[in-house]
Amino acid sequence: MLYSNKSWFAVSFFLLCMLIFPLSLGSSEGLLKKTAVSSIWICVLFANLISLESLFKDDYQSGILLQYKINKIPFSIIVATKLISHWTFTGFPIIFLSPIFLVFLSGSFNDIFGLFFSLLFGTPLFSLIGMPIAALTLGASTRGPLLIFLSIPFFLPIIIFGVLSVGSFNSGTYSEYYLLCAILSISIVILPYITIKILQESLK
Amino acid sequence: MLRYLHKYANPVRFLSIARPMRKAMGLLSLFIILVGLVFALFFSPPDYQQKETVRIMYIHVPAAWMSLMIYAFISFSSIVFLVWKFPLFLILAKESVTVGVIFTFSALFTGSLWGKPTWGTYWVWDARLTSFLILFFIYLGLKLIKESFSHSSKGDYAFAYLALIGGFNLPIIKFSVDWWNTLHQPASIIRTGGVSISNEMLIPLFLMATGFLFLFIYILLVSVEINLKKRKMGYSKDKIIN
Amino acid sequence: MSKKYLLKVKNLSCERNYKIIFKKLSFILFPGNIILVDGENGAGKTSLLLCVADVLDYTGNILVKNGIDNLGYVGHKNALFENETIFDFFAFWKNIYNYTKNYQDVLEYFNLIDFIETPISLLSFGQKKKLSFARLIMMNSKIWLLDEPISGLDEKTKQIILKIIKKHLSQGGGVLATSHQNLNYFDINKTTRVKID
Repeated sequence: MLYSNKSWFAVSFFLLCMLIFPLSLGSSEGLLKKTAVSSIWICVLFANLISLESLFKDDYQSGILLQYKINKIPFSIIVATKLISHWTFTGFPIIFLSPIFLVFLSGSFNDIFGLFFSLLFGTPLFSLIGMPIAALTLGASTRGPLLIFLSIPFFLPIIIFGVLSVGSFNSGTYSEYYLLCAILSISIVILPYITIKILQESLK
Repeated sequence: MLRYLHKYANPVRFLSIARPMRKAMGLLSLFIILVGLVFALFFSPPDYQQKETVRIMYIHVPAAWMSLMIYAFISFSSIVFLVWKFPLFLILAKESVTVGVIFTFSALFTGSLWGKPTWGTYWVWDARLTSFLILFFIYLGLKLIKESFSHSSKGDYAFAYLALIGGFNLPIIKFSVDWWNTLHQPASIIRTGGVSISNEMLIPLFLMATGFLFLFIYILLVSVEINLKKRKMGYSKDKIIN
Repeated sequence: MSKKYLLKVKNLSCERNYKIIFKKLSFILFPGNIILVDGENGAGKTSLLLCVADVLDYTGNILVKNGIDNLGYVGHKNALFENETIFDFFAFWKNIYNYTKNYQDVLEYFNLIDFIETPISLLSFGQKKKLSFARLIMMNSKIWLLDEPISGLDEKTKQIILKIIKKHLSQGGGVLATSHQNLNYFDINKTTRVKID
């Protein structure tokens, strides 16, 4: 829902995180310049972790998910819409905001396109990998912290390839982009299916 | 295969086999580890570069092997549970987690102890160490999710699916860390173990590895037996499998 | 006679949380009839409804009359998006159920017409329950599964909901309901009691 401020929370959080890096690293330009791309990726990670919690929570707790199941609305549609909307409100705005923030963090202009493309392939992966984990923690006590703890290890490859790909864009090798695309194409086939299975199990 | 599994997936039948096996495994592991330790500490030669510190390897390497093997076992059992719904395999997977955490931790701990004399520092962001640290965190995640469901059957599925996703993701994580490491080669030169290893070192290494394996099977059988007995007595009504 | 059933349950057993909840339950729901499921707290009344709705795993047979592909369900949780208004609620579920008639009548019946722009989170418990029933009406299903439909409601709301159920029965629908309270409101010849222990 566009008008509920919850959906913009992730992006706002992304902007807020941006503040931490200059303040904690000091405003020396050399250090900021070196860490600009990594900082943006870390903020993307934070924004995704924060927004994952509310992905299925309301539907599960209010019983709407059960209502969907009883009314035989296919879970594939629900998972697909959840995925798309999660990406539109966390991944998509960040992709377009990140070049601006690269400048704020005094990153080099050469990295703008590299960063843009790495986020373009990386952010859907965040949503995809986070989805089954968000689904399987439904009904757990202390769900929020648990969800963050469980998802970070699985997000690591994306951060590694994402940060490295920016460098490879400038050298013209693009190998990490291919790897990101490979992981993306595997994940998009398998993970939604697993999420559907987990969601159905969570109602039992 | 399926019928065979069905036959032995029955908890009662499992117990009838497990009980005599458990004692044998306990004694065997004790014996083999003792013999292995004697070989490792007294009969194997010191390394010509690392001197006596190489003896840490006899704990470190088998522990690392075990933690990987146990993860593979957990993933396999979880898949069997998800596909054929044998609760026994879930109990097996769940009870292995704690042992896995301990083995992974000891591999990391002995590794960093070994690192001080050889690399001059307790921790290096080397590919193998980093991916083991990640494995450790995934193990911790499994342990956390195991304990955070009051509704047990729901928690069982969450656990099994997490183990499954982790099983598929581990190779990707390992690969990505290797990739990252080759680009950020650290300054210190890391000796790759296992290339020029002599027979005198291999024998205690394998003795220790088999000893650890039997130890794992022993602990697993004991904890599964406890779990099944609890279940039979039914005194933990809601947390039957925990 | 046997062809007229809406729902036929035979030897239904359900296991949840590695515990057997109920065993070999059999009953038949005929058009115009109501089945009241009785039992202690935690005996598995909700589980029975969820088994019939094909959410939980069960063994045994559940036959639903041909042509009924959707079951109506009102549970403990009202399944409402809390930050939406009633208008959004109707707009959303109308599309899902292909409800073509004007929903103003439903709103009027439940006395909700004045609240159409109110966020659902501000509604009272009884009003939320009424909204769940409004959805049930839009769904237009022959079989209703009601989990404690009138518990915790005031007398006026209770009457409204009982009237709705009665109307549904008179139109040839069937109801499978769990309730703590004695639902003596319905015709005794058309009421079956199923006990779970």
